[in-house]
Amino acid sequence: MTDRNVLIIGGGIAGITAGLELAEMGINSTIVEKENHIGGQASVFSCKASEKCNKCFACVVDNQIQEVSRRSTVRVVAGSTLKQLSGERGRFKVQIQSNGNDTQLKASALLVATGVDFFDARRKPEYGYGIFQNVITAQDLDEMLRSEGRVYRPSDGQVPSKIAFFQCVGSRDETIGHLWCSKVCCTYALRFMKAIRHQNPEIQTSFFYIDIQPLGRSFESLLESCRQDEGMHLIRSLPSKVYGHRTSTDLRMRFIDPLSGEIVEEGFDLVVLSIGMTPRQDADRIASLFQIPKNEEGFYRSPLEDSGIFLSGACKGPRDIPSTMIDAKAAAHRIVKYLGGI
Amino acid sequence: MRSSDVCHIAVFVDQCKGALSHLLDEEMIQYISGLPHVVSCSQDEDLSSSQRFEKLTRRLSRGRADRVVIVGGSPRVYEGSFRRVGVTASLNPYMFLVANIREQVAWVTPDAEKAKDKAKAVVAKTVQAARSLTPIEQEKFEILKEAVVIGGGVVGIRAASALADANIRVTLLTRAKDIGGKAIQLSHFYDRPDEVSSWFAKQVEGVKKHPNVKLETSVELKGFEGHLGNYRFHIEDLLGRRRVVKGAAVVLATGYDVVPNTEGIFGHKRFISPPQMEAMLQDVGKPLVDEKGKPIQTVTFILDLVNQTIKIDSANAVKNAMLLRKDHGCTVYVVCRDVKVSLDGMEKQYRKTREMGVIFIKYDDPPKFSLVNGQINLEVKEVSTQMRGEEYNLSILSDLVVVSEEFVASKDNPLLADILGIPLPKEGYLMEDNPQFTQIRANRRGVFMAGGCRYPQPLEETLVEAEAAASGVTELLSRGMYVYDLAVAEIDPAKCAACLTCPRVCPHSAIVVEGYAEKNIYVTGGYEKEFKWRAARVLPTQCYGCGVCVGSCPTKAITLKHLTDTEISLRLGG
Repeated sequence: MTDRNVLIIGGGIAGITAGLELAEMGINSTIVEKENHIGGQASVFSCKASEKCNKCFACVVDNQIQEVSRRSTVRVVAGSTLKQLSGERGRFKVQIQSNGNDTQLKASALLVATGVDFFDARRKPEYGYGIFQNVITAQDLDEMLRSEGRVYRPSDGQVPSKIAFFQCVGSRDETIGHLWCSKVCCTYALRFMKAIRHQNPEIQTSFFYIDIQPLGRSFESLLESCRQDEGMHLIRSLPSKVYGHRTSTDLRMRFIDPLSGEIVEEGFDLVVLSIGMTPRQDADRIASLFQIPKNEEGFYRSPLEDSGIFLSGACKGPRDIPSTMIDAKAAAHRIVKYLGGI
Repeated sequence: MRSSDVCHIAVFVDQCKGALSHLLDEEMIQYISGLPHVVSCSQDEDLSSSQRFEKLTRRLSRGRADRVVIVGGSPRVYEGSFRRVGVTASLNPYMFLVANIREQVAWVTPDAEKAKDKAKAVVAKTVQAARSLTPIEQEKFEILKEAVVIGGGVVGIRAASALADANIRVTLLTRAKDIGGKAIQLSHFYDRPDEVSSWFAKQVEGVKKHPNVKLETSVELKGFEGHLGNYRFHIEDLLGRRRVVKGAAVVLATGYDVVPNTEGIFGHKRFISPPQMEAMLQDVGKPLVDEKGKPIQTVTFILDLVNQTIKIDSANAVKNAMLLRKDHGCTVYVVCRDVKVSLDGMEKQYRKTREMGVIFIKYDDPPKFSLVNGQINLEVKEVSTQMRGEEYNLSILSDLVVVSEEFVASKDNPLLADILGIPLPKEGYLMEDNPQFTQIRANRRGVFMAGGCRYPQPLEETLVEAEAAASGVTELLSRGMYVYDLAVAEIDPAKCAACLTCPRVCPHSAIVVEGYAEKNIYVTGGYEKEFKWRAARVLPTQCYGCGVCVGSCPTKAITLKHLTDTEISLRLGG
């Protein structure tokens, strides 16, 4: 068992964690990443601590990336795309292309950890993303907080006094055929609200949702603290449309007030769209390359274990960072079993 | 030989890709080179990359330096790589300090002159502190290729078989007569048409027949001792006979408890629990009738009165509502606060269930129940109907109401935590270590946890946890040897007052108070050499080197080997 080498497709948090886990068990791995750097979607997240840690796991991602760079048994081939799979079970040959050059990598097992894309909010034009400057996505907000450490209105750089979070943008939506819950967005937005209100208690936040989706053990206390905060309004209603104004950058939106049952209009300074996760644009290509079955939603289903092809992370369906990491550890263990144990 | 007797410091200056160029001019380099004990000072464009570090290794192996100071960014950038470089350059990995002039100077001091002075001071003090460094040795011990799993439920079974499949001998301990647990109560999976019972029987059979698995049923855990790699579990059977089981590591899969809701009207026979519902649906062909033989026509699931942030009830209600509708033609209502669709495939299931005619009702204020002609009447204010002026705008008469049992932390967790020496937070579920190590690891080395003892989760998610915990164990055992640095706390027994502060504050159960010392703080003289005094002692295999004990020791008897008080005061310029 000297030449056990696993090829990991995707250098996001799932691929990285699996690579590190395999390294700990004495198995070499090569991570093939499409982008020029590893870390994936989770690497742009900002810390969402308020008076205490809200367990967003953003720091863990940085840690894992650093850890990979220190290991010699986890090789990273960034900026590469997959071309072809040949060979047989247990002796795979994968053709990859980086900088215009083709190389062939050999692997005794494959781990597909290609993750997800974030929903393109422009596909819901009624919310005005890309039309109104002060409609941003949760990812934009993350980047804002990560790079500048504060929340502001893109139009004038001012601190907003009222922020609205729209849930389920691109999830649970029949009109675009996305019949799945992205699982993480409720917690993600609530943590944002906690962090923002902690930084600036003047800011009023509203959270528009269908159903609040719990996530893990710490969720109960998070939700409870949000419900008790008078500056956080949890409103069970999804706005139908965001209206801009000809002469100002203020936004108005229309929704049904669940308390009175009436249609109301309210103004906000900043609208944050909690965009969901969708299968990767090239999900079909990778699926046919490796013959991975898909579920009705378009996410991957695990192939048979003796195929030597394993899956991990959000390519199987939306996941948050901790459950992705747990999933990656579990996948690493399955691979070890497949390769004959320790 | 005292550590400062011979002292050759090599300084490496990291330009941090040009971010520090305004500080690190020719004069600064000369200043650094002129500091006492500095034998070399070399510059690099970017030391954070591993290739550069290799170059550094080569330079170090040729030179005569016995300690290294890096001038640049945060210690975290260099620490990990340096530890490895140190080993290859036969330099002790702890003979190394970082003068962080990026975060501590460049980013916070805009004035150029002041910044330079401050940078000089930081570097000079770090170089001075480097003289106080002492090498830290490594220790190692053998790790058995055996593990223990506690808990014979679905999680324990999955963890045990995962370990066994990876060639690890496993002892599966359960206090029950047979393995099984709560999952056996489920009739069907929510996401596939299969029955749970046949799947589960296969799992049970698999683990029972596995040559690497030894089952110990009807046993209680009474004691736990040893250290990572060689723990000993004292177990007691029904007849009170004790045995010792060995394991290098342990997976806790002891599950959670349920508290049925039978208070007031919920005690009425038309209220049943989810497991009772599952049992009724186990037999697909059997018609659903009440105790008088009358067919059950209307079934209501009432959710979120308890377990509001746990997805299990919601998933099972959706699944069973569909079965009741499809196989028995019942009218089904699901009354909840939020429909929990955050499971793979659940949104589709939920929609399908609605399309089949199951009615979902959401409330903000809990519904009221009453008995009407032997049936259960539920009155609820439906949040999405948007009607005004009525206190209760819906009333539903049902033959059966499924009311959830509350999921709570196992009442045995305090005892278990006490035996294993792991902390227990006030909610009562077993606590994970620092979340950076993910949720499956307790903060005692070699203790892992999965499933309901950590937090109740749906079957699919909990099984992944079991495998992840198995992975954690496999990782430890795969090395055969556990090698660790003695970068731990150390107690000077002569200063110890045996006040028990440190064992209480230690989060890793790494401190014991034993009669081992020649003397402690109470002994002033005239003592017998043979007598051993009580004093606190650190178990280096358990210690994480966090320093909590150091800060709380009233007599300052404890030092951290890798971060001494001397070093700190030198760095602060004291």
